[in-house]
Amino acid sequence: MRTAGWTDSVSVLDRVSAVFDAFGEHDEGLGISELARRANLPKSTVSRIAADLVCQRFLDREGDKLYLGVRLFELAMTVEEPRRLRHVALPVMTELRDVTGQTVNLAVLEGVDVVFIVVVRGEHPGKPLVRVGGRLPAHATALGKSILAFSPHAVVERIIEGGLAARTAHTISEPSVLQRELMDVHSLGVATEKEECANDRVCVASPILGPGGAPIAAISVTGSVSTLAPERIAPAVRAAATTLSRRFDAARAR
Amino acid sequence: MTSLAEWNRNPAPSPAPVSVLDRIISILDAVKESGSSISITDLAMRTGLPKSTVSRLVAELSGQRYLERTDDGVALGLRLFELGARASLPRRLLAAAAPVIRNLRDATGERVGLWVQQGTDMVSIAAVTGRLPMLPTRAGMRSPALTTASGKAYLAFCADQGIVDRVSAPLIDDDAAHFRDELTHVRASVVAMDIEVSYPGILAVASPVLSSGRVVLGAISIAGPSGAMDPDRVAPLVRAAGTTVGRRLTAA
Repeated sequence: MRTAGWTDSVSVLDRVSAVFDAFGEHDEGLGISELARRANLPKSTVSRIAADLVCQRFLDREGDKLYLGVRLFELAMTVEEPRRLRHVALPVMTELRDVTGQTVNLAVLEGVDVVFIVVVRGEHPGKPLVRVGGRLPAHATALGKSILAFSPHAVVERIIEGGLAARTAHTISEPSVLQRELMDVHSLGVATEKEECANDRVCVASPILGPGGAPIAAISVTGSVSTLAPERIAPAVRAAATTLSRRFDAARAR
Repeated sequence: MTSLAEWNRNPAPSPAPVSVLDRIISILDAVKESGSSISITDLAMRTGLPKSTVSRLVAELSGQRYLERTDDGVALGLRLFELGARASLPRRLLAAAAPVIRNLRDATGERVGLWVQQGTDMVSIAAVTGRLPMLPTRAGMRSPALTTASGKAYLAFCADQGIVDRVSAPLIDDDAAHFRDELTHVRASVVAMDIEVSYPGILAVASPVLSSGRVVLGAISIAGPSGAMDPDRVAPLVRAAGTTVGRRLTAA
């Protein structure tokens, strides 16, 4: 029996969101109890919402484990911006992967994070830190820094207000240091990340800019400390970003 | 002759959804089917919901980034991308199938697709173009399970009779009996064929992807121009591809 609370639309969407957000990045299946604990909702509520969501295939059930479902995938593949970015960027990204042998990423800024839209995996990728649809904090990544360096002041302020949490001993967590670095990135057109986000991870990124010079997204090459020399790879990353800026311009003009 | 547009048409409008969750879902679906942006008025028309209800739910969905405001209405938002990109089954299937799809495409030059079942349709997880440029080819696209090779490959091995019944509900008498016979045949040969039924001039061959527990998870298919692609020649390749994806899934 649905309670009065259940019929209130605000709480329905909030609860559904809490259930969706309980699923982590690495698609582990969750039982009802774990889901309820992570969503911070009563088990009976979660069990009812989950049954409805399974019925609509927004969640998939396998045994007693629940997973994010096929219907979400279907909606995801239809979202226009990622689809357009992928369509235009994939050939350039694949070429960059072939030239460097390393993993190539494309991400957009969303709040205080970057969201990964396309990942073209390198020749010897280890366990990926993040996958398509995943997030990393903007200030701790080359992708984020390259976008922030070309963003309005207010956007950078918002990131700083977010607290610049340290992910490793090398994460920039001092506002003044971040601002100085963003000025360098702006003049170079390339941002570098040396173990600022995860140990043994190096990344070089360059922004894809729209007609007014506002960043649309950023492209990066990621590898391990021993296999990727940032200064050697930077020109190729910047060239790829420039090509993509032009292609997005052309795609828009058509 | 049925046009591609007709085959990909929207389902007939159903009565307006009652529960809040169903209303939310019907709005998301209507935005999806609009292709990009849709106005509140059109949304109300398509969902059969009062405009005020649509307005309120759209405001909420936009607030939580499931939808995004555009110049001419609303479009699907980035949050759906973030969630759906993490959906487990498509991701696992795709990881296991990617090299197999490439090999099959290289060996045949035809369009190769990977599919999962959803409702009475098959949803594309991945598609690699072949020499059929006119076929719409992209992940997230739907095809009817009843007539397509991938749909029949899936249904033949589907343990949930409810799904098979729902998909085959439009069939009556001889057609229903014929469909049951066809699925029996698919179970024996482990390949299903669609000879110009779903799309004129195009034939397709598909094989199921089964988990180690023999649970069907999806189907892999190949499509080419009829007359140019020999279904009997590609059938063993598709069957082998299905088996390989299943084995790689188990190994992963």
